[in-house]
Amino acid sequence: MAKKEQSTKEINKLFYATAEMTYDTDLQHGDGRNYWPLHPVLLDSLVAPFVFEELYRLFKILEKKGYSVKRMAKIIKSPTRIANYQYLWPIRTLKTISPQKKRYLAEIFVKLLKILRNNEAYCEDFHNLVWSPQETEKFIKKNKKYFIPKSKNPKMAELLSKLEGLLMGYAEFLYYYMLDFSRMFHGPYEYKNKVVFGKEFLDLRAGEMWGLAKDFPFDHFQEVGIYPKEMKIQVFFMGHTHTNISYPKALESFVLKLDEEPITSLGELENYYQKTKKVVEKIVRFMSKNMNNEEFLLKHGLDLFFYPLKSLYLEVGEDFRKILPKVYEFAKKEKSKIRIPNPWGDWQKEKSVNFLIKQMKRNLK
Amino acid sequence: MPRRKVILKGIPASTGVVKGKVRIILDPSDNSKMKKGDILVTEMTNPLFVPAIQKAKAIITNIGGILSHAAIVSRELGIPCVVGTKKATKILKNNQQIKVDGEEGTIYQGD
Repeated sequence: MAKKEQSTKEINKLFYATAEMTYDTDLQHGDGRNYWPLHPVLLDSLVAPFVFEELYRLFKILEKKGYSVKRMAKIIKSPTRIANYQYLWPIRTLKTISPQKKRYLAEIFVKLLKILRNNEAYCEDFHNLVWSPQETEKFIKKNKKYFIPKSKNPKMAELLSKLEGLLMGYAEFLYYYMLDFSRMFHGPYEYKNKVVFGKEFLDLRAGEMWGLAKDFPFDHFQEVGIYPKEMKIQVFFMGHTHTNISYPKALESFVLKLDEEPITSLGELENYYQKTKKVVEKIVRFMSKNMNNEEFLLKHGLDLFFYPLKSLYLEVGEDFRKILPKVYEFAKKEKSKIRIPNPWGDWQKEKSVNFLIKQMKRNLK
Repeated sequence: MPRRKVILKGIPASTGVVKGKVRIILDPSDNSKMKKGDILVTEMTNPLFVPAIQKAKAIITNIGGILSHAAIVSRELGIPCVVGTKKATKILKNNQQIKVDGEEGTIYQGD
């Protein structure tokens, strides 16, 4: 009994963090009316039952194979990714999934978040602690020779920030409003009176999901920056960040790795930047022409929820695309029935959060 | 020294102070009107604004908060950004010279 009570308490915390972030994020987007390019409730409603069923099935297969939750966490890699799947909890279409499966999922999500965030599952102190202090130190020591001081190579630091700006846009082309399926900003970590912060983008060369992405010059972007102790970085539950000084201004030194290979010269970085820009420009042109192509936007929107689970599918020897025809069929049948909620209007945060929590709890039953 | 006139106030989203000319882009199909060093003024950004954002010296939006798209991208690029001004696209005019203070969230008249 005590175990169940504890688990309910944990699930309540998860739902509270999710509801609070959903409301806050909605307000960032003009009261929920300006998400890009489709309203989240539409896509979330069409994918939610499939994503949760698939996650349940995949976790169960791995469990039967003897995988611990810790090992599963390692396969998923990004806590931000797990956090972003929580947006699906208030969605009505989840009612088709059994309460027992949903409870299992809520419990495992909490466990995964705790493992992947070194016990700060909900970014309680505005940290996303993917690394332990030991891992931070290990990374810095191991990559010492690759760190580039901004003062010695200001042009490289400037180009790096331009590349990051491009990556933000690119991640949104691939993952729409769910860009944090790719983006994983982590830290801030304390190290020798400095602030260490990691910026990563995962699964960028997503050619299996979208042909235009197959030429992307790298799949994994990893930048670890060192900042002065005055730099205050806040990371929120779903992966957004806020700082008191801009990243490029405060950056003191950095190590950049593309597909785990360190980039050490301006020439190399310029080469990657140009290649990235070329792909992004191609995508901007394509998307500009297709912003009214509902069929394309919807299909791509459905795919992007399953692609980030590729590593789990691979682990059980399956292809993430196998489920997609069923999702398309469901979407075709159901999309006109999805009710898009009104904007929050004059509802204050407390009322809105309580409303969302009520929806989530109803879905657990 | 004369004090600058405050034209608009919003939410400070990315620090820095710059001066420049206003370019109002309401639709990404007008991205090409943006010149390098202009200040991008828009309702709200989305990824289709990437080509305009890459040329911008600063960003001002009508809506959004510190976690909005424009705020996040501008922090990555290290350019000042003021969001949630509610009426920037109405009050500011193309080619108008302004000063953007991303720390205070204030837009001043003049160069």
